[in-house]
Amino acid sequence: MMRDFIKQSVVMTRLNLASLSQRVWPSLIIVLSMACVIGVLLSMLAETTGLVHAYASAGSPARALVMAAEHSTEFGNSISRNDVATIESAPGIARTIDGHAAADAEVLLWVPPTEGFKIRSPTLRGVGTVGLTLQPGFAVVAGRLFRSGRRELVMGIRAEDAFGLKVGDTLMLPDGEWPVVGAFSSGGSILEGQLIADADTLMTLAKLSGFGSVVVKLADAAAFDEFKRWLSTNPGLNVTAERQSDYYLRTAEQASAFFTALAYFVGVIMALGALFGAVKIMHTAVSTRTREIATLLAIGYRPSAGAVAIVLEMVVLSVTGGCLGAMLAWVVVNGRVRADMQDVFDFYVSPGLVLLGLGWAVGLAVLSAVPPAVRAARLSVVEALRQV
Amino acid sequence: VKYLPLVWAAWMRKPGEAILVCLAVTAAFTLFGLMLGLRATYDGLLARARMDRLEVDPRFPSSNGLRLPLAVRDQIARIDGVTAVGAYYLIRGYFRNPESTGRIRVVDEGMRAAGSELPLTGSQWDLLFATPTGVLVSRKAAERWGLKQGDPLPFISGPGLRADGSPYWEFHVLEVVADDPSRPDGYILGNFKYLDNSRPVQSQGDAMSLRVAIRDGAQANEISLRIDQMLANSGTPTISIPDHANQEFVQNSGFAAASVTWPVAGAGVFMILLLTGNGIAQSVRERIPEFAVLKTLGFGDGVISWLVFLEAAAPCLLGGALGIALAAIISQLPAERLPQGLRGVPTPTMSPGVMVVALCCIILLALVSSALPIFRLRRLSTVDALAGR
Repeated sequence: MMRDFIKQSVVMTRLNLASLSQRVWPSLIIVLSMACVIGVLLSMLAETTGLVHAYASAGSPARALVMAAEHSTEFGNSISRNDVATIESAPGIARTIDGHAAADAEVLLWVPPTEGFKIRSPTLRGVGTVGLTLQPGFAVVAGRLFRSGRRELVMGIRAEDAFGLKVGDTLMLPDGEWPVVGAFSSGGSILEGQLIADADTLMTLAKLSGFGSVVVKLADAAAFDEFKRWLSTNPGLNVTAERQSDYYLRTAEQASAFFTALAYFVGVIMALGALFGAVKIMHTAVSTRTREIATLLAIGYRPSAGAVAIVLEMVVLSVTGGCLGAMLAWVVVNGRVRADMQDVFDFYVSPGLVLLGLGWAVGLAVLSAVPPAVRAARLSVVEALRQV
Repeated sequence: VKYLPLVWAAWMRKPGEAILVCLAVTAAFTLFGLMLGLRATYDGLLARARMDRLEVDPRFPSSNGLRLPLAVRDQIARIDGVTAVGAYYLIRGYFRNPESTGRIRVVDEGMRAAGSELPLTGSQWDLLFATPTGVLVSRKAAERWGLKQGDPLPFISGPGLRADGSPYWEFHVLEVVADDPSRPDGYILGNFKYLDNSRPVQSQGDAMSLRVAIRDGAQANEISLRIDQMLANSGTPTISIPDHANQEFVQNSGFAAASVTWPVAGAGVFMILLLTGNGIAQSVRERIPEFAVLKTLGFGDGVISWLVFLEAAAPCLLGGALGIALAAIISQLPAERLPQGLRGVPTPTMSPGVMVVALCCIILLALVSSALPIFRLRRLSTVDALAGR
């Protein structure tokens, strides 16, 4: 019985799809409407996905970030050198070849441009000797690395486009101008839009009293809980620990929450417009094919198979529109560089985003096909055939 | 007018489908109205941002965070072209419950002249500076927080601001004052002295930012650079920016809704153009014999074109009007009733200008939708149509 039902549904769907050539314009309009909805939604979400992706590339669950409890961000300067020494003695930290804790105290500073009004400021990350070894994929691609104790810095390869910097330029920093002595890449992560210098030099010259965070490589990812417990129960410390991957994800999501909400809001309203339009077009399609549907019902096809065929036809059209929209989003925005206040990243139409778009297309297809499908299923064969 | 029954009859031929087209147009114009309103808000903010007002911020954080000593104020005031310098600090926190976050801008006497664009009277400034714990609350802020004149305003800030370690600030409302169009969500002004006297000794005398009024907006760039150069080698280097340049930058930087208003509005209208165009084309296609009869009866091409245009315009006008009305209602919703993520979006301005643009767009939509069917009807052979060929 089920087999018959499936067989009938397949036959009726094939008939519906074969008749699309007689309904080219209405079908094309459904496809283009869905393309508009999915294209706009994915283009907007590609921006937030790009930021999340760039941050995620820099984070790892096997690394932890220790921050001052009152800030819970890398920015700040309240972790003292004594605190750093205490943190390095915590259990669960991996060791370097020479037996030291694989931990690095870092400090962040925004560096406004030397001249002009652009308040877009690259982030300068002060790192210690171990710091760069904790950044997977870090490689100097032009010039050289900064030297400890010297007023010099290196820039990420994306800082050139975003902030107009190049190797050899100087930047105004506390206590004078610092030259950019090299450029680095770091596997497409958010660090590529930042500047890096020696933390101790930076702190001394900027008269900063403490570090913003301590990056720790864990002995293994499972050691995090013990590490965090040890820190939180140590009465001498007022810090909080978070997996680096979780912290970066949280940071990116907080920064993009507003735009993500706006994208979904716009997507929902556009989807409603497309939904009403598609219901209207499918109603018309069912009306014009009343005789064909009635004939099939008269020769023994089930009404439910006809309804399923209408839904499947709509899914095919809608998913085609969804694919077109995703393709448009990919062509128009994917890979475009976006420089936020401090972050530089690419728009990213990820596979997950494309799947989300196709999911929306299927959902809209089902919602818009149900009313005409119900109408087709309730069709009175006798009445319909009288129209012949 | 005498042909309206014909238009009505054509429209009511399939009322279900007519309603669906109307609903689709409503959704599209809700989005269009909101995007246009948002664009108008951003344009308004940019138009009001002045070139003769500068914001001076510390270039780098000190061990106390981002602070500027008040002594800098006097140095800047001596620069040629500067007419006034005011200092302020933003106390961030919440009122009543942690969800109800906000900020109180505490200002010094210099803000009376440097912030003269604020719609406050001389007596209101006097009252503010004579009452350390008093605040002036704008109408929108008062409405949002349910405040009126004389009400206490217990405010809870972050830790570390007060010398006594307490996060509580005992403000009270001196007066509810006029709103400032540059601050669409309203504002609360407090007295800098209250903050300064409550802080630890080492933080006293520090402002968060300075606001500088200059005589000539054309000199804004030059004076901004002069301020930064003057303080470049001091203990607190600064970064100065004219209000207008700042607003321009904010609107064009990442995750700014301003950058998507036109593309989104355009995509919405394009989508609805396809739907209405298809609707009217289909309606005309199904009624070719009917139009042939009208032509036979002596209806000219002009009248028939009008009939088709009005048939296309009816759902566009009705749906468009409903959509714009809906957009106006949504734009009036208080922030608390919006989803969490959307509370940061500025309130769309549904001005008469926005309405006019929307109306033009509706008429254009009807024109474009009906153009092809009208063209087809003008070339219609009455004999063939009546013969069903």
